[in-house]
Amino acid sequence: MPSLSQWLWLVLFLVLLAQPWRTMMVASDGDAQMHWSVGDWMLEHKQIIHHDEFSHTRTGAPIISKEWLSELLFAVAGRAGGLFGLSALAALVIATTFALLHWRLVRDGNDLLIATALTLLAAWAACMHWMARPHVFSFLMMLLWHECVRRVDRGARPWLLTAVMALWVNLHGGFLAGFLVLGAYWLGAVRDAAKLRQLSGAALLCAGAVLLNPSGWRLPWHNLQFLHSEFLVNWLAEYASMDFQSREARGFLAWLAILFVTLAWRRPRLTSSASLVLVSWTAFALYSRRNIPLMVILTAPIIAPALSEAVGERWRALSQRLGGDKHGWPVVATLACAGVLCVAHPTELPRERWPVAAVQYIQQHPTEFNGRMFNDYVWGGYLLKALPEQRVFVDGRTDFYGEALIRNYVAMTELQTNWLATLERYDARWTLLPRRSRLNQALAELPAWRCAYTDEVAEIYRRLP
Amino acid sequence: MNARRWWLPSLGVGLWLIFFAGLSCSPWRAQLVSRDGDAALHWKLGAWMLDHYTVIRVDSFSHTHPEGIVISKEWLSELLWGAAGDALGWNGLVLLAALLITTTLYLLQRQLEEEGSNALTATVLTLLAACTCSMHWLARPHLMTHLLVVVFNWQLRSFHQDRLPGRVLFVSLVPLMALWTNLHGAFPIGLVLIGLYLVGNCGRRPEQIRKMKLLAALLGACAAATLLNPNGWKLHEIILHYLQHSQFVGGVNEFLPPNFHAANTRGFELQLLVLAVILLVIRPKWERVDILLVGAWTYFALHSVRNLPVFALVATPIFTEHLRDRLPQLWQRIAADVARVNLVAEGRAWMAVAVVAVVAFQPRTEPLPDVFPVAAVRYLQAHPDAVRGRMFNPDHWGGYLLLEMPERRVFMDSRHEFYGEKLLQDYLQVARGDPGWMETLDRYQARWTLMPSGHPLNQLLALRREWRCVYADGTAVIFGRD
Repeated sequence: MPSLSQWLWLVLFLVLLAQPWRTMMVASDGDAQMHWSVGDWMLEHKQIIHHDEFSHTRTGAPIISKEWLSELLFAVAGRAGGLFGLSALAALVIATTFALLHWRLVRDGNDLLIATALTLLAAWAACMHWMARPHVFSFLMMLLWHECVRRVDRGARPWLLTAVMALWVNLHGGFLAGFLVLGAYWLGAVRDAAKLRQLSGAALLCAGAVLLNPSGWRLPWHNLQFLHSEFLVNWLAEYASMDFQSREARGFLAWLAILFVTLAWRRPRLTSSASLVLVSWTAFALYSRRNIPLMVILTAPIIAPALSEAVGERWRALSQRLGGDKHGWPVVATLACAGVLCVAHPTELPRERWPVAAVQYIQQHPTEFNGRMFNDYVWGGYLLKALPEQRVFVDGRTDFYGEALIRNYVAMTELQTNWLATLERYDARWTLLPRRSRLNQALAELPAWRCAYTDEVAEIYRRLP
Repeated sequence: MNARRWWLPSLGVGLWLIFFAGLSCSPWRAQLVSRDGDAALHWKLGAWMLDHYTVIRVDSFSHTHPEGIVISKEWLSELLWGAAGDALGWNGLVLLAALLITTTLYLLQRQLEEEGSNALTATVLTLLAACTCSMHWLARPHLMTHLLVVVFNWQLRSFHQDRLPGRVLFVSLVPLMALWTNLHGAFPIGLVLIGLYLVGNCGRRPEQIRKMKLLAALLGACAAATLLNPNGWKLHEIILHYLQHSQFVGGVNEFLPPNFHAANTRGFELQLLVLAVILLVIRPKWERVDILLVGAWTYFALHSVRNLPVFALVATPIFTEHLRDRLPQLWQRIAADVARVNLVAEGRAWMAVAVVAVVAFQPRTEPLPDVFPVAAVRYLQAHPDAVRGRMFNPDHWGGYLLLEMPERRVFMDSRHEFYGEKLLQDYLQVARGDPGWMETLDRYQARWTLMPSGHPLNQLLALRREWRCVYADGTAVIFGRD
């Protein structure tokens, strides 16, 4: 009989493979396909990408690849199963992360039912960022990293921690978050000289491990420079603060409520390090919604003991009865395989949100679309996969395109005073934008431009020769 | 026993004087009336009521909803705004707003001192609350709500802590609730506060049952008192309708959730940090009612930035109670020295002197010309034939325009609930340049537009042959139809 952690893994994995999750994970933005395309290029050319091959605005410009290893994995998954393959890989990583979180909470001596409830609540809070993109690896790596930091804090050697960092730095650009957690433990140990030496040594080793990537020291520098750009951080939706009026904020609100009630009611005595992790990551989660999954993964082990102490004898007895066999993986694996085989695989982008019909029109009339395209930012990833023969104006690689180009993109789509001059400077010959875009309304008024295609989702405008 | 010193202001009075002088005489005074067009809107509505000796019931300011039924949510404040504006112009609005803001802070500081905090700690924590509230310091009737939140919470806390008899609570809060209903549309906050104290006192002990009964009766009486307004239950209906419809709430900046990238949430962040220190370092035993109050108002603040000041005003007394005895020894020593001086300070007369001095010597206040279309309005007044017919204007300029150009009716102002969903959608369609924007503009027979410079609608109109730019400066652009 599988344990509850194993059941949790199975349920999460199968739920994410079912609809609507498997479509949502690849259709929330264009980045899933952008990473697939980049990984595909690397598989095809048997080398890590170093120069841009996909845009006409930055052709040949050097690329600092933040997530080449994840992109390779996504490309392998995409080649094997198309969009379903991307969803399956993301589901595997997400389910493994939360099953490991549950396993860790139970192993720490927390009540089984409390651990399960907290893991489910953490999953609910984090689910608004479940997408088939490399950042899901950061969820898993943060869990492993936090565990390794705790071990180092208790005196273990830092080799495993260093290995985790060496892997993380090649999987996703979020590896810098690991140093914030390590920093909290370092500050927490400031009165303990031995521990401080141990953590300082670990930090130095991990800083060295960061250099073990194809771009060397340029990668952390590039990431820090990106975070330093106030314009880009304010412009990107996933860096915005959570919209607490939206439905997707409810899980996070519930998490904050549990946090507050646990601390006010149970009054646990936390270590300095745990307090610092809790406060700093709550602040990061309020600042930026993309930090919410990391925050819940880090804070669950901190509040679980206080909640576990509060449960009554009956509850505890029930928890003990539910404990399963930790050797239940063969059963779970068999059920997961059966689920994968039984679930209907077709996964398509919803035609009511993506310019699927417009792309078909372009493919059917290739001669009409010569010259440079101006495209919607969100659609960029999809277009470079669906229309590989056309180079995009922009896609989700905001850090690569840089602030200047994104400002120009905004000037055109927001119809700022210089929009037409900017469009002409980039020599855009045709546009593919959402139907409601203001730029379409403006192009409709210009005699040099004609509407070549329109449907409920997208409009294509072409410049007359 | 030290003699009282009439010339020495106490810390609370000092706080009042500094904020009053700062808000009335520094460049901040222009901000108070310039963040949006509502200060002007309320002045205009109040002035209309003073002119006509009646509460406003039909609209006479817009061309899109002429003679529409107006349910005034804040007629009594608008009368005050109208009187202050008519008497002293923009300076009058600033003076009224500064008085309300500083009195709110003064009362909060007094509450903290009465509840056992020393004057220094009370002042510092009031300053922290002021940081949170400052994002909403605008010359508008919602300042009445801030003041009444402090009064309600102070009274309810005093009752909860057995410092105030239930009878006094009834006598003070029920009339205040009736007053609040006529002063500002956020009066349900008072009912929510009583409700939270009621739930927080649930229990089986005789003392809890007595308080529960009294608070339930108070809640009923206050709910009944809210019917004492010129529109009766229709006021409640329109407020509920407004809050339930996301197209109203979503279109108003102050109803949006806080953006933690912005500098104006720093005060709130600091208060959350204080909460974290209390929870993690001090770890006091929390009363259930305090958990409810802090939890509920944190949630409301995260839901909507306009609740940040209410969070600050409700949570600060709770934070102070937990912090006041746990501050470092050095702080306690300094605070004790300050308290000895503060005890003999009796300088309340300075408050009256400050009001007289500000009325006499306050520099002239004008709305900021880079926020409002001041020069464009002057141009239209100098060239009345430059554009004719109906105007299309942004909602946040509506109040300013109907005050400064009463001869021209606006397309819309910030009274979204008055204009209704359909008109709001049409307005947004044109303002965003959504497909069909020109047809909608035609449907409302708009002959000219007055929009912020850099607004996309100006770019769209510039491309159309039948429209021409009549006027442009760094703040506003006027397009007219041939």
